[in-house]
Amino acid sequence: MLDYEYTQVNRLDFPHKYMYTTYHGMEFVNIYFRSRLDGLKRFRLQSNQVYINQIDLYFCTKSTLQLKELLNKENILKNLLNDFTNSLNLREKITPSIKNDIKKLELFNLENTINTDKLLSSLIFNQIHNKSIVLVKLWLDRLVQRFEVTKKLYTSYQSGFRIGQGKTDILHIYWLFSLLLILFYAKTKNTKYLSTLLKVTDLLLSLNNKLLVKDMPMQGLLLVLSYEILSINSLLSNIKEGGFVFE
Amino acid sequence: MYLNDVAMVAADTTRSKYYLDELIKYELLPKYVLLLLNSNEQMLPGQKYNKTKNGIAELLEAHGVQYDFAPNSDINSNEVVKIISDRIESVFIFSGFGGALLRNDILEIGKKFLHVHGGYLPDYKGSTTNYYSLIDDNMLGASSIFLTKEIDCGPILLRKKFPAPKDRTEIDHIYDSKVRSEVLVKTLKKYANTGCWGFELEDNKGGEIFYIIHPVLKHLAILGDSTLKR
Repeated sequence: MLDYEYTQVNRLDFPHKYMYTTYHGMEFVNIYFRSRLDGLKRFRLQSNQVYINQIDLYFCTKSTLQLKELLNKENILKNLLNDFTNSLNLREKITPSIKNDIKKLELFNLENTINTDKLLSSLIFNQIHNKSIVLVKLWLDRLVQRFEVTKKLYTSYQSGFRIGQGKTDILHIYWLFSLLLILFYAKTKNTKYLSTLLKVTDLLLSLNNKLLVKDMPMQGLLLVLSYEILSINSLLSNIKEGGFVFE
Repeated sequence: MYLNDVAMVAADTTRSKYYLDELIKYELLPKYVLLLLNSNEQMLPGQKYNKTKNGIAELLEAHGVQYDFAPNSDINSNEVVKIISDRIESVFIFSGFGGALLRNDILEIGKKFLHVHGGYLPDYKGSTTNYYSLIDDNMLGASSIFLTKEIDCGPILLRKKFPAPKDRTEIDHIYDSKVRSEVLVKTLKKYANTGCWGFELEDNKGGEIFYIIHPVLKHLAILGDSTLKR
């Protein structure tokens, strides 16, 4: 039986190059859906964990509201979304402390060392508020390029944004990146960003829950995963009537 | 007919074989071919068979094309760069192993490298772009360019859009090579007829840079047919 090999081993330790992958027909697409739905179940069990990062919770809430139109189309995911929006942790209003903690996007300069986490937070903030669209794409494209070449994101990048420094296993960075990708894809429908997102979620799904729980809100990971599944199903619906049948 | 000022660097891939078959068919043979063989047991990107099965050397011999085996498979190695640098031809058709990029050292030796990109430029730059264009526009593309330091940004000699093939399962090794070789032949014909390299679009700016497509999207591109629309 065919396996979804892209999440079978720890993709931080063993990155996949995705070159010349073999065609397996519709069976492979079904296996992808099953693997992602297993992931949803896995993360849902962890979604009652208390998570205190107020910026992340704010991002989760705002992103959910932006993405809910597509999410609401599928009952199974609609329920998930309701669970999420009913959870006590949500933060919809921006507080002065959140605003102060997010660096202005205009202040990031290629000539300086860039903190990846801070850059991603600023990009998501701008994307959510529909601000600095050109600048968001410019920085996102740089991040996509770095990730696609190494399949990793470093905690910071030296001037010029070519050479990474610091750790590559800060999972919070990968989650922020996945959230930004899904928000940008939702807005632009540019398949390039969906392709990179699939690779980032492969990486996250290849890791065990203990590693993920401490670094990101599980609701936020569920949100990314749900939207990715629905985006793929939306493309599939153009080929196969009805798309994938969620049970 | 030999193109006296044109040589070729050909990795032992199905694409190189396809190119040469077409160049033979249309009598647009390069004066010289430098063959890059894979010396490893494991196949390199772009290879469908191991090195003995493509039969490029035999093909060149049968048509009287002068050729050499490169001392290694790396286009950027000093040895390979020196061989190319010492040749008299000023333009090299480049058909390397998948993902092989030309570094500054070789781009600065004073030769032009004619490459046919599998994608319609400037819209689709980067890797596996024909899968993306199948999803987005239900078409494939190919564009001939002279390579520059920036990926897929060299001046465009010729470009063409192609309808999606009926059988999309062999895009990597057949249809992609087919559309690229059609553009290569047209480019060389134009050169043979006019004696100069004219450009369809010299200012190849803008567009989107794509990266290797995720297998799920690749499957959707292959599974799709003419009804695939957003």
